[in-house]
Amino acid sequence: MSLLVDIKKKLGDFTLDVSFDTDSKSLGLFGLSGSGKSVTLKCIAGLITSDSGRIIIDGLTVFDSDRRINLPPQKRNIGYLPQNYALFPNMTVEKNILTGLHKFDKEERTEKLNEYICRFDLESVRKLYPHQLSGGQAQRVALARALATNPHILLLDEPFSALDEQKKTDLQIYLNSVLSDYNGIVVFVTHNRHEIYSHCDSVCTIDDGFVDSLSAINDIINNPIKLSDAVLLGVDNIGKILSIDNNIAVTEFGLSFHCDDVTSCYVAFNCDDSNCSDCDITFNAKVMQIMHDIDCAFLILQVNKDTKYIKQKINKESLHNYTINQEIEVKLNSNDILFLK
Amino acid sequence: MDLYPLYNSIRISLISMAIVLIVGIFAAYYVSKAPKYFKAICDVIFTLPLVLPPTVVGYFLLKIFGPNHFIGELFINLFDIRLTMVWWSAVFATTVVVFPLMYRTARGAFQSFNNTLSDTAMTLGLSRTYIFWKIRMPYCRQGIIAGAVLSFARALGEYGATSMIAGYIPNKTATISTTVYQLWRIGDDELAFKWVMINVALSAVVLFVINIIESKYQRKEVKYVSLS
Repeated sequence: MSLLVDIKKKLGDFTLDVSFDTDSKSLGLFGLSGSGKSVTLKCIAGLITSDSGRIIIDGLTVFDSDRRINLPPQKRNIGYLPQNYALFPNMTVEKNILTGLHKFDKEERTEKLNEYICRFDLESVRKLYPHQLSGGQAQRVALARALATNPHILLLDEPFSALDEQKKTDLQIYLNSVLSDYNGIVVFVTHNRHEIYSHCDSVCTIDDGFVDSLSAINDIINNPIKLSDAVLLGVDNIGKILSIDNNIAVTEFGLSFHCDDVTSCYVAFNCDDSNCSDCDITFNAKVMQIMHDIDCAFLILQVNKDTKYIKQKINKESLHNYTINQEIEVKLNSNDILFLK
Repeated sequence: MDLYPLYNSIRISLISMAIVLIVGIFAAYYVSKAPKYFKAICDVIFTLPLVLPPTVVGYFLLKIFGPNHFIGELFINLFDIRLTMVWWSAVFATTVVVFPLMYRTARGAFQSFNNTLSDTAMTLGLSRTYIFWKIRMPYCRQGIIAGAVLSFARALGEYGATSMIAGYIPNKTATISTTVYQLWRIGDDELAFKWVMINVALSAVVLFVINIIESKYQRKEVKYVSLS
């Protein structure tokens, strides 16, 4: 069970340069919108032909530009679940799933169809059309149809983005239980870091079309190196380093920090109002806005006019200490500041 | 009342509708897959007959199919067949005039087709032929049928190019439209009016049919997510 992807593709202004190699059972492809996640999936699926490189799925070379191998999607044995599920609107749930079973002969087809209908809990909707289904039902049909072909690899393109919060958890639980029976590789594309934690063992972050490595989630948590690692971890404040001189990094927050690695391009840190004894950095900032959340609040601070805002987390109990336009003192620990590429 | 013009008009319209249906669908399909510049050029060429005066179309047709011109002469010499002034000459005229309608309707129908559907179908192992007939065509069905019926209606109403290439020969090449002109010219108002009414009734029926088709095949959008 392995996946090797090493491709380059130019699409107008956008260049995709993806390279990773994994035998992980579930791989997350994490990146912001427009970073090239869906394009990467389509290249793996063969829906877009890469300009150069290789793609090897479970030992089968589906694409190799040097040896002129380029299997059409039909022959790559992949399961593909696009964002909107792409159920065929002119076919019932049964017929949709049957399109995945065309390899089998008539009796086996009916048998397998019933198996999938049962397994995916679709008995009550088997004769309905896609426009009559709910989001959850539609996703189950799309999954059943994709898994019906017994693919080596399952490509899920932001499977939860179409749903609202309440339905999402049900489906996440459901997806996890279905995938526990699945023996192939799952590639999960999303821009939501919580989904990566819930469903993947390892993750590839894609940044403006570029991927050069894969990490286990724990490695990223313990040792974030790239900008996308910080985004994945949900660090509140991420900003550019404008210049580094004599190991002092000037950032777009209007703050300067001591920095040992002069090749760093970004800085990231969390900020709260806890009184830490070993906080060695102090600065003043003005409260521009107060944003409330369910169990805490955030002060939106600015060091100077035109510098990037800083988000500081505070307890609800301390809210009364702060007002808009107030100048406050903020403390940080230099050990908690991440310098990233 | 001699009903030849009715019978002739309908058969000419049905034949050109059939031709235009096949050629229009395939032209629209292949152009929708073509690169930008080619697409634009094809769109212009294929839509031209719609905006040209029918007499201009007739002129071009006569220059091609007329007895002293290229193809017309060829057919007379090789097969002893005259391509103009017979009832089926009108088919050339109506087909050319009506083609843009079918082409544009089919283009629109194919354009609205979401390629994610065919992409997903490919990953399921389905062949391109299966995808075209069982997934793409049913999706575009409504637009295409509406286009076909519209083409039939337009063919029925063709006058300018038809009269130039087929002329008016009673019981040979007369269509409803050329008959009405002829009757008006010789002052037979009563008969002319009868044919006018037949034409109006026929056109109304056809437009009703288009309406029914459009409401029957009204695409039901999925509720959970937009297909676009």
